[in-house]
Amino acid sequence: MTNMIAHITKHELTRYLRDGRSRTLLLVVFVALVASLVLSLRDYQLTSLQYEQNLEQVRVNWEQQSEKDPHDAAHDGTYVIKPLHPLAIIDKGIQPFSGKVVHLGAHERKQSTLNEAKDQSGVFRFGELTPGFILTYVIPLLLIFLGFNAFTEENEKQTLRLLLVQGATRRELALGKWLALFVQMLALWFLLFTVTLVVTFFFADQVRLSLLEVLSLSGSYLLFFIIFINLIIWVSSRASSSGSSLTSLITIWIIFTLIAPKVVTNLAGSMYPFPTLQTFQENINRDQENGLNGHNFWNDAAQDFENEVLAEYGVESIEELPVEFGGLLLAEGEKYESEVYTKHFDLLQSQYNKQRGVYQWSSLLSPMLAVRFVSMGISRTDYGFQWHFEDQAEQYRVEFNTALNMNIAENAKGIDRYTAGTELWAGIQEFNYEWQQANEILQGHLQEMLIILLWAVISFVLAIFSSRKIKVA
Amino acid sequence: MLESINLNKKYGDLAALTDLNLSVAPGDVYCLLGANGAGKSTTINLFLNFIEPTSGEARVNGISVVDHPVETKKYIAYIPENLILYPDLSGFENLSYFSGLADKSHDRRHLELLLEKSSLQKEAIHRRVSGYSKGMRQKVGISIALAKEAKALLLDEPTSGLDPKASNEFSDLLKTLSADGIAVLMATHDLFRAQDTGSHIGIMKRGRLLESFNAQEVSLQALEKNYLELMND
Repeated sequence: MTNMIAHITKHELTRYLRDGRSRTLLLVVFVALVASLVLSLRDYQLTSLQYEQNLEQVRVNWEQQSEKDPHDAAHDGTYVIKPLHPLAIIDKGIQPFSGKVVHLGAHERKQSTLNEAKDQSGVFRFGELTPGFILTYVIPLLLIFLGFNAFTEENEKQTLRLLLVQGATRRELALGKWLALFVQMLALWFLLFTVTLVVTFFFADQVRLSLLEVLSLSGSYLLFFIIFINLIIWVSSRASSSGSSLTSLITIWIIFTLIAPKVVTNLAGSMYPFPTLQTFQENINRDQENGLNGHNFWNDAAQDFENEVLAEYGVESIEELPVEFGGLLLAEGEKYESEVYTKHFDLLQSQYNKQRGVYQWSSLLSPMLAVRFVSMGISRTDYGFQWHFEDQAEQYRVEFNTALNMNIAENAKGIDRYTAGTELWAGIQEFNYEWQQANEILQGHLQEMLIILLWAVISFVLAIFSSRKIKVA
Repeated sequence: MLESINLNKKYGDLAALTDLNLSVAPGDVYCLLGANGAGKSTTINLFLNFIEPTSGEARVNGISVVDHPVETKKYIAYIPENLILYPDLSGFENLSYFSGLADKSHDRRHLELLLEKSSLQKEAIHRRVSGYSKGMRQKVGISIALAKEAKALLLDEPTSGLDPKASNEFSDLLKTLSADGIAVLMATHDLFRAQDTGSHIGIMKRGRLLESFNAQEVSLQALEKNYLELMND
C-alpha cells in the first residue's frame, strides 16, 4: 500500500510540475513569500535599531535634564518603548495599529501612542505583504487552486475508471493526492520557517527565543494547511464537477478567512462591548474625585492620610514630622490613582478576555481564528502582549513616581524650593520589559491549539472516509 | 474468463439489464451491439464493479466481482470510450504510471516495446499525450492492458470517433490480443467492426440480450438485417 501511495504521489507531483498553471502559481507564491520575508526582516531590523536608539535617547534626555523639583520631573515624565519580538517577522498582528510608546508621567496612566499605521497613508489599510498574510490567506488559496480538481478531473477525463481498474483503491488515491499537496505545501512551509528560525536566532539578542515556541507556531500553521488539504480532498471527492468543487472551496475559504473573523468580531464586540473613551475617562475621574490626590491637602482622604502619618511618627502636627509631608502625600496619591487606573484597565482587560473567549469558541467554526490568535500570541503581536507591556509600564510608572516623590519626602523638609539633579535622575532604574515566558504564552493558547488539532483530525477522517465513496462517472 | 449469471440491474422501476447470461472464454472477442440505452455499458460497468447488480452475478476468472473486487481487478483491463489519459505526460509516462498501479514492474525498454507493439509510432512514445489523436490514446490504452498482463479486456465503444484507418488498426490489435488468449468484451455500435473482429456477437435491446451468435457464421449483410429487424420490433 505504501508503495502504491508513493507511486501516486510521485505521479501527482510530476503532473503539478508539468502543468504551467501550477508552476506559475507556485512561483508567484514563492516569490511573494521570499519578498514578504525580506520586507519583514528589513522592517524588524529597522524597528529594532530605532528601538535601541530611542531607548538610549530617552535615557540621555532623562539623565541630562536640568535641576528641578523631582515632582516637576515626574510631571515631565519619561517614555518607555515597546520592544519587538523576533517572531514578529512572521506575524505583525495588531502591531501596526497599536502604540509603541507610553509616556509615563505623574498622576495619569496614559495609553501607548505612535503607531505605525498613523505614519502611513490610508492605503496602509489595504494591508502589508507579510509572511503572516501569505501563510493565512495565500497558501490556503494556493492549495485550493492546486487541488480543487483532484478527483473531479479524474472523473471528467474518465481516468478514475482506469485507475480503479488498474487496482488502485480510492483510499490509496486519496492519500496519494493528499501527500502530493502536502509535499508542495511543506516545501513552502519549510522554507519560511527554516529561514525564520535561522534569522530570528541570529537577530534575537533582546530575547531568548524558545524552540518550543517556534515549533508551536510553525506546527499550528502546518496543521492549518493540513486542514485545507483535507477539505480539498473531501470537497473534490464529493463534488460533481471541477467547477462546483472550486466554487465550494472558495466559499469555504471566504467564510474561514474573510467572513468568520468579521462576524465574530462584531459578535464579540456586541456581547462584551468596551466603554467609549469618554465613559472610560469619566469612570476614572469619578473614582479619583474622592480619593487621594497628591496636590490636594484638604479633602477627607488627605486628612485621613495625614492622621495616619502623624500617628505612625507619633507627632501632633505636620511641622513636627521628620520628613516632608507633601512628598509622602504625592507618593501615596500616586499609588491611589494608579489603583484606580488598574481597576479600570483591568475591567477593559476582562472585557477583552471575554471577547477572546468568543473568538476561541468560534474557532470551532473557523480554524483560521484559532491560528491567527496562536500566531499573534506567540509572535507577541496580540492584545495580550500589548496589555502585558502596558501593565509593566504602569508598574514602572508607579515605582518611578514613588522614587521621585519619596526623594522629596526625605530631602525637602524645611527647604523652600527643593530641587534635585543628575544624581537622582541617574539613580532611577531604567525600564526593562520582562518578556512573558514561552510556557505561559503556550498555556494561554492551548485551547486554540487543541481546536486546530481537532479540526485537522476530523477533517482528515472526513476526507479519507468520503474518498472511499467516490462515485465513478 | 468473463461470465454473467442472471445478471440484473434496476434503477428504481427502470430495468437497465435483465437476466443477462453470457460467457467470454479466453481468446474470444465478444461484441455487444445495441442502440444507446440497450444495456451494453451497464454490462461493462457491472463487470468492472463500478455499479452493483440488483441480482445475479458477474464473475471474472470464476470469481465474483462484488465479493472480491480487488482480486478480480487483477485479471481485467479496461478502455473507456473517450480515453483522455494525462495530457501533460508522455504516452510512455502514462503507461509507466498505470502499470505501476497494477503492481507490474517493467523496465523502460519493455514499456517502450509494449507501446510499439500497440502500434504507437516510435517518435510519439515520449511526446506529451496532449498532442495525441484519439487513436493514439487508444493504443496507449492497449499497451496498459498488455503491461498489466490482463486476462480480460473490457472496451466501451473503443472505435467511436476513430477514422477508418485507426479503426482498422485497432481491430488488428484486438485480433492480436485475442490470439494471445485474452478474453475481450466490447460494447460497440459498429456492426462492421463487430463482424470483422468479434468471435461472438450479442444484440441487446432495452437491457436484454436478444440474440447471440458466432460471428464467423454470419455475414455482415445478414447481421445488419437481423440487427435492424430486432431494433424495429
